Amino acid sequence: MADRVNTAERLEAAAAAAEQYYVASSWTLMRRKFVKHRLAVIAWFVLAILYLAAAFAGFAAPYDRIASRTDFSMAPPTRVRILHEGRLQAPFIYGLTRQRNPETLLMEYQTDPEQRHRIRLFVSGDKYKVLGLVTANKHLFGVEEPGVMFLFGTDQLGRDILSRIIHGARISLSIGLLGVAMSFVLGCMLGGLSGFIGGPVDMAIQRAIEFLQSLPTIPLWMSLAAAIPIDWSPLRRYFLITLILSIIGWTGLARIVRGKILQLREEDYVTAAGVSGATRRNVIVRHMLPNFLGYLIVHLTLEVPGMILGETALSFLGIGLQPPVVSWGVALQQASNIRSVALHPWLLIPALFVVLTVLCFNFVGDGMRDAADPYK
Amino acid sequence: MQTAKWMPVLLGAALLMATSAWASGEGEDTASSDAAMTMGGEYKEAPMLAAMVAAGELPPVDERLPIEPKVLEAIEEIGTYGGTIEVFANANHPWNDLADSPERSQYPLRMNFDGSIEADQAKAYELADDFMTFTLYLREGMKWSNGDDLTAEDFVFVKYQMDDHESIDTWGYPGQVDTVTAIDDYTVQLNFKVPYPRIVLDMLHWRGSDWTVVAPSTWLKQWHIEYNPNADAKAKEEGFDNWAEAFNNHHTFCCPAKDVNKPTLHPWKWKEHTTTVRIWERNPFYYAVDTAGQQLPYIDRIVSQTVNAETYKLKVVAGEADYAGAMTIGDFPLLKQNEETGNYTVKLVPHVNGGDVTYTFVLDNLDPVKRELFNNVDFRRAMSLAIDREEINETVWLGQAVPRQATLNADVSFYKSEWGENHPYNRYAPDEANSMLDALGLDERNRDGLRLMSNGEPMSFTLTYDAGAEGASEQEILTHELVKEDWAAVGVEVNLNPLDSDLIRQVETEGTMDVRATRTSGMEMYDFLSGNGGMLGVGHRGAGRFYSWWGAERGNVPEADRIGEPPPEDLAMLYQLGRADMQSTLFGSQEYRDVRTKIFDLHADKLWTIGVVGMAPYPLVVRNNLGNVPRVLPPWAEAWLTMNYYSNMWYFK
Amino acid sequence: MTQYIVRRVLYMVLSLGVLSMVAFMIIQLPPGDYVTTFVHMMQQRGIAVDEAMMRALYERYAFDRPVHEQYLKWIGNIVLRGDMGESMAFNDSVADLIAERLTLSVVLSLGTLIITYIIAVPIGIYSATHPYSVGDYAGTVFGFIGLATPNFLLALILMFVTLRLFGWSPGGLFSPEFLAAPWSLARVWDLMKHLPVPLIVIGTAGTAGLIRILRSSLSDELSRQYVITARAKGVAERRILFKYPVRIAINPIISAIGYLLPGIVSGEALVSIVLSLPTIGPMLLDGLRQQDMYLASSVILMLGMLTMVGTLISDMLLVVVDPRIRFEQKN
Repeated sequence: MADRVNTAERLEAAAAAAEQYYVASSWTLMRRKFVKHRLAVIAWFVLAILYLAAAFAGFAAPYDRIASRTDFSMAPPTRVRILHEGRLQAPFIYGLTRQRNPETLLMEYQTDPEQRHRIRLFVSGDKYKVLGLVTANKHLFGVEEPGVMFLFGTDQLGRDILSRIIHGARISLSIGLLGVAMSFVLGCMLGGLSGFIGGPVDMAIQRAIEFLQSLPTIPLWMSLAAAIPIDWSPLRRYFLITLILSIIGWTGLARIVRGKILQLREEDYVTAAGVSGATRRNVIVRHMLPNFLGYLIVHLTLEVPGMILGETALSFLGIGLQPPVVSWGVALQQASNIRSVALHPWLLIPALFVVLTVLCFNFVGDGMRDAADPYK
Repeated sequence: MQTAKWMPVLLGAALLMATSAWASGEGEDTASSDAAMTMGGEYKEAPMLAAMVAAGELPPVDERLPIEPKVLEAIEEIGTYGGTIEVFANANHPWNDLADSPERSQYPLRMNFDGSIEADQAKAYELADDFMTFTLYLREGMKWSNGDDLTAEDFVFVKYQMDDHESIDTWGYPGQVDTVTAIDDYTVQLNFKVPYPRIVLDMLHWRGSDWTVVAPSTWLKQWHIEYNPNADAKAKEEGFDNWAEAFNNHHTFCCPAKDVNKPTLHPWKWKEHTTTVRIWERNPFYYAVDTAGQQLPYIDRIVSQTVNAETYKLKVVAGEADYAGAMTIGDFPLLKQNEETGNYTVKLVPHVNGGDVTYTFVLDNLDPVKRELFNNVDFRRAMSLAIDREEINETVWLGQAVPRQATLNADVSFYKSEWGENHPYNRYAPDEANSMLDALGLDERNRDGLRLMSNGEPMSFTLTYDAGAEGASEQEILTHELVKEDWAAVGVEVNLNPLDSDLIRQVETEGTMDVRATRTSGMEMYDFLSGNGGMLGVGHRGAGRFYSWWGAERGNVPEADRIGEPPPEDLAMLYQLGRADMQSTLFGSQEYRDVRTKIFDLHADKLWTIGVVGMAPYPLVVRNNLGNVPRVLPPWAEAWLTMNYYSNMWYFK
Repeated sequence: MTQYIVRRVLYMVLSLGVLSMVAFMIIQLPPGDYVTTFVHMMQQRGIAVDEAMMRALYERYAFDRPVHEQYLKWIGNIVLRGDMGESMAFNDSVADLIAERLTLSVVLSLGTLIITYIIAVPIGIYSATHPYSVGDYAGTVFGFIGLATPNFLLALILMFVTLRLFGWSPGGLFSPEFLAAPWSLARVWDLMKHLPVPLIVIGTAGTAGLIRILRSSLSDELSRQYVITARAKGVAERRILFKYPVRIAINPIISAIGYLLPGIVSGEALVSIVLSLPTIGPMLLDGLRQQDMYLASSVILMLGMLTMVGTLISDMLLVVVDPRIRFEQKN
């Protein structure tokens, strides 16, 4: 009796599991599949933290992004310590003294164990605006004045690299999303038109795509960036540069959209929907779109890193964003010289963040690609 | 001993100025001293050439040299022949480090370390008292690198068979030249339309070179229709459409030579060039010898590789360059650290620039409120007081530049320290600046702490700098960022506006820029009227559209094309001084000094241009076994004026 | 098939016509022209160029003619005589300049291609057959780091590190004595010695893309019925893998070949600038920057042409490699 019950329960459980699988929405399945790609999940969290930090940059960064501290020009990364005279302590740092080397003329920094500063949470410091609205002066962590803590060192004007990375993330991380959004709109529209209308329109759009893809990207960017009107504000420049970056991006997307539409048009269920009287709009939105939205999202995710790298490349060529705008590209442009590599390697730390972000986007994209077709 | 070797450093800029030594020099006397040196007769030549003579490929050295060769005194010691000098050119400055003129080149006249001028390619020269006629006496028996004689015809040919020929591309003789006459085979006379004392300076550099005034006419005539009736057929044979095209191709009107066989007068002649490498080999007919009678140059070959700016530094650090000067003060620590492994010596040598960062408020700004403000000298003075120059020098310039106003280099013979370091407004006094600005009626501020102008607008200006490949250096941009903070502290906002060089040229005359940042060129001594006068000449960067008024006055611009308002009186005065200078003062004369003193007094008083730092030295790397290199070499701008690289005397120890 | 090719070639000629116009226009977009660039360079050097000289330059380069006239002359000479005009900055014929640098660009591109495939194909196959394994993660992370690092920085760092560690001469593709030498065995060997750093930098940037294409298309193939059937029938795993799925999964790679060239030139350009490589990329960028219009336009036109020919060839290759497409073509 007990055996039978058990068997029945087990069968039921199995059936329930199967049912769960079959009735689960495709989104649920996608999530389950995505979670299987462990790297993708980790990457997802890393990206979330980065974007959060960027959104609340003023709070997350220990210092202001622009104000110079010339007394600490080119200071190396500060070491966080927990041992003082052999005794364990709450995390603290030593003070800094400096001296110019008379031979090489380099400014050299020594720690001064006489001065100790405890690292605290929510310290008061430079003023900033929360989301551009409220003025505040609390920072996530830091040391009280006159102590200074530069976890990633400082640049020539004594500006904290960490703070500049966090503030720069605002531009560098958003440029990818914005660019991708532009690509998305352009790609869907033109790809959709191409697939649906066909004929000469399709022909023209396809040739245009081929044409754009046959141009080497960087020269195209260069000429377009050079043609940006001079008196434009940094913000408008930023938008235009994003647009320039997405000018190549949409072509790939348009091809995918067109291909999918052509393919799906012939599918039985679409025909069935059509025969049973669904409007054309309904067919597209309810039946076709969900079918390839996954692919689009994957494609877009994988476009983002290209945009982020594109921003750094434009800056390197001196045609991207310019100081005093703070972005990762600008930071790298200032660091991409032999002097930094040889003498001040900490100036290259922003590159690690570019690498990290690009890697994360790629893994998330891969995870999403695996998940995009959850029934496989 | 080491210090003595570097002593000429002090002369770095003095060469422009030490004028007493020059004052007597109408050239005749220096030429006679040359002659005395060369009476001996027997000359020595490089082993490389001796081998060619032995093989019958070259005439003997005594026949190759002019009757009276130029005799050059060694800077350190008499050298020995041989070797290839390996240098690099920075892709942005392809003429650096021997890669192109002027370092490799010689001209009719030369300027010595002490600022004195003497004949070089020419045997002697003479400028008439009315400055209307200039005569060059050539060296008899002097030859082009292919063995053709250099004669007066080579000058006349350029004027009448090239410049005056429509289909031939030339730079042309300096515009003031009216006629060019061959008095005899070795005497050329230039006649001017207006007095032109500056011809002496022109003859020190490219304006007196085979770019402009002289050409190997014997060689070129084979492509010229007037001398060769079959020139068209010859051109077709070579693949050109007509004789003129062929002529232009062989003559090469500018820059990278197209036909490497074009004869030259310089110490080395082209051997080969691609987009990445340029090679020169000694000119067997070079006209100068050392005091021991050895034909110059000492070094056989120059190989110059064009590389990216960062590769350039790394190559130097790796010890691959025999000589390198195209770097900035910021590179010094890295170079110093690698001195031993790289087997070179690096020194900081002074730069002739009087101002490395300077700001000019654009006086003809279209906005009437801004214009009134910018034209107020008290405003400019207050802005000067608000700059913390010491902090900038320490942070950005390794403490090696001089905090000073924009003016001439301090080594100029007639220099006054009140123009630069001791200028009354060369201090950091933010409080005083604040009260001066308050007194100008700018005492109201908005919520962000910015002062309000008389029209209620906040004081927010753009600060434009050149962001082109040749534009502002890293140090300059960092300086702008610090000045921006300093000015913000007294309630004046500036927004940095990096513009490409082309765009700057375009908007310069539009009256839309507020503050223009530049560096002085070091050329103020030479030229007050052209763009080279930089901001210290008349054509200073704030002048913008005033140019058109002055152009109209000289008849270069139609009256109808004048734009904007006429220049203010004080600026007009500066212009008149510059004009007078151009036509009537002879370089180095008392009058020359007087006019310039007046000009820079005016600059100091009016403070049209605010200086931050100047005279920043730059690092010069020289291979340890390379001898006779004067350690005062200026990098570009002033080099063509001074010509003192003396590369023809360098040698490997 | 013939008809298909003829049609494609016709489109190509049309596209090239448009491309030539765009290539010519792109240079005119930014303000200024070569003369202003040149004058500025001279000024930096301390040489004042006066009005008369500027006029002489404008006449010399025929900038005083209307743009369409300049364009027609340029394109006319290319079509009729294969003459691409003169580079102003180098004072040399554009065709010669391109020839000088194209060889090295091609060597670099091919080298990069080989490196990319050597790295990407094994990782891609392993990742597809062992999804979510440690090896999959390690392989992809490795492959992606190349993509994720800004090329110009990687080049700079490697140049410095190899100098410090191995004493390698920084930058360039040749030692000084071989710079202008004619091709010889010794020169080729010298070139080989200078290739590792550029190949690593440019090559690693491309691997990630290939890994991804291979991984996803191969895993698609592996879940197909015919694979399952084969497996059920007891065919050896290795044979299953290489008989069909890998061959099919290679298809997208072949179709990507056509676009490799502009991709490599773009990717190569920045690296070549940093490493001072005498390839097409930096020359094009300098040409654009200095507005050396015949040089820049001709290079763009040529790259466009090569890309179009490349896509045509890759499409034809696909037909040859994939019988299914061949079948479609026939119907």
